[in-house]
Amino acid sequence: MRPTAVELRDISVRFGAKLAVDNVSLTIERGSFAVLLGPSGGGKTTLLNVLGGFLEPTSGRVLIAGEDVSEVAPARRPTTTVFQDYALFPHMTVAGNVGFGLRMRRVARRERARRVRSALEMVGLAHAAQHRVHELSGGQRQRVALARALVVEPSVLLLDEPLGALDLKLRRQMQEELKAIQRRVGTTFVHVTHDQDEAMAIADVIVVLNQGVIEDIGSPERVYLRPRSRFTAGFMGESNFLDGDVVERRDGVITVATAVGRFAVAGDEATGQAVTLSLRPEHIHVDSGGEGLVEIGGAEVLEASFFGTHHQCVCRLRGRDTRLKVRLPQRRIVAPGTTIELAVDSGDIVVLAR
Amino acid sequence: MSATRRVAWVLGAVPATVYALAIYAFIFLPVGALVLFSFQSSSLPVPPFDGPSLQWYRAVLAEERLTRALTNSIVVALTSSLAAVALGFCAAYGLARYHLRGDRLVRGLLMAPLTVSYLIIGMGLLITFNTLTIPKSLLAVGIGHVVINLPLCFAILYSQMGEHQANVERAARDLGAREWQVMALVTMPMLWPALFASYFLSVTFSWDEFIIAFLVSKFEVTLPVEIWSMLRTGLSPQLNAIGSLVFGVSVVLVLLLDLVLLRRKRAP
Repeated sequence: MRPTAVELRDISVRFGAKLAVDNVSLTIERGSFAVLLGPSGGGKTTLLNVLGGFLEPTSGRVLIAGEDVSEVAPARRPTTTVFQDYALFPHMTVAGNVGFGLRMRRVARRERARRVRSALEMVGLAHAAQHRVHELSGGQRQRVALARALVVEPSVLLLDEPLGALDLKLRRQMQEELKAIQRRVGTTFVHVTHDQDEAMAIADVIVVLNQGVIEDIGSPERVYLRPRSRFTAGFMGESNFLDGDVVERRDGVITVATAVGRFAVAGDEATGQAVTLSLRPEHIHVDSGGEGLVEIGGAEVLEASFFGTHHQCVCRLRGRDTRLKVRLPQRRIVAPGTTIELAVDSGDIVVLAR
Repeated sequence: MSATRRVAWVLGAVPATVYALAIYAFIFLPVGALVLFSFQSSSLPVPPFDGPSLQWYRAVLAEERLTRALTNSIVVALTSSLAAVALGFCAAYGLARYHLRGDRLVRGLLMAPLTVSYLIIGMGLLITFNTLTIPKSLLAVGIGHVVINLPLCFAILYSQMGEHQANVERAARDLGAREWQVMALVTMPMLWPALFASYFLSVTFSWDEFIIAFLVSKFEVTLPVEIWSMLRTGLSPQLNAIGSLVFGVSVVLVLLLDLVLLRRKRAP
């Protein structure tokens, strides 16, 4: 196992009567890109502030690079932060901003200039060193903030929704750049966002936070394809949920009876247990019953909308009240009222506790 | 433009121009007359104008009472404003950065003197100084001017220390700055225009202030008080000359202030 960059032990944060973070323990490997993902109020920014030292947890310990920094002020922690509003120094040049941390560490002038230059080169702003902050665009400010935080070579870089203020196209571009820079410098990044697409695009590890607890933690693929909780399944993209009961268990395969039929899926829940099955819209096969597929039955299309990469439909199962979200290929145009046949690969179904 | 529309435009524009001119005449005629007759040759500042002559300015600068009052005014304005800005800055920083019990009440109390007339403040100071056996003096005048200018400085500075500035200070701490470095390298430079504006506004108000200075001073007086005592002996172009000087200094201060604030608007 790789050494840990960050370790949180039993962290709780209470604001008045509200428990913002509820007994969270978490380790992040050195050199990984971790994303704290969750809805607002989920506790992700609170947790980041605890890491940066801006907020003292009500209880618990914070370890960075193996050292207990629970009592260490932000200035003395081996972490730096890219703030949501960038928080650049408006009265300094770009080079002055980037060099600030080195100045505080009493790095000699010549060495400082060299490191500032290479940090600005890394983010593609070498030409703007003498510009004032107010002359820069949003994306450029973002890069200055990143260079300013990375130039002091922190053990862990904290990013507090750094792409939130950028428009969608620039955001996607900056995601790629962030990921590339993280690979190049090898620093551990802890990034906060509420955008699950952003999280999946950049993360090595996604930590899903909801109401102050960790709902799920794992690689983007794992968290998306095999979510551990109903919240994660619903928050990471879209999903159809079918409530049912386990009626049979045999050799690691359980049979779940739901309102739309029986499904045999991998699992070891006890017979009689109430569970929820999660089916991603893109996992529902349309008019293509084949080997290994379980028929769901015919369904009437109620609404259809085009998303560029696919059509998204809401269907009602024939003779039932259950509605399912289904994705159709780009060229498959269906009008509301059409009937389509649905099937699913039981390997794609996720069993969640209810 | 058609003929009827042109007529309508003239009918609208002419009265508006006349009205504007009348307003400016109303505001600036007294000041204009004051300045004009400070250059009078004869010894009465009334029409007809028979100048120009600089003799009354010479007389002002030769009169020791006036030059001493002038120096007193400058010293009081510069030092009391420094104290007002320093105290206002500390109060604003404390209240903007730390959450205290009852901080809204403290803020309200700090700004409350803005609503009280200088006469009432002057009377209160007179009674207080009397009880504390602080003699009537320039020091007392300076304290009085701190009392009237502190709320103003506080209000200006507090309004500039918002959440964004707090975040920038946080970034400096995050990058390893100690508290004094945050203050010297980030907080003060970012607030520089506001500090400058509140200082010069204070100097302007202190420079002009009469009632408090009149009530709490005795032998050493500031320029407005000296002018007042000279006025009692009758009109003289010499007084016009002093008035013009006072007015000129105020204009320079306001222009300086405006320059700084304009520069801030261009470069946010």
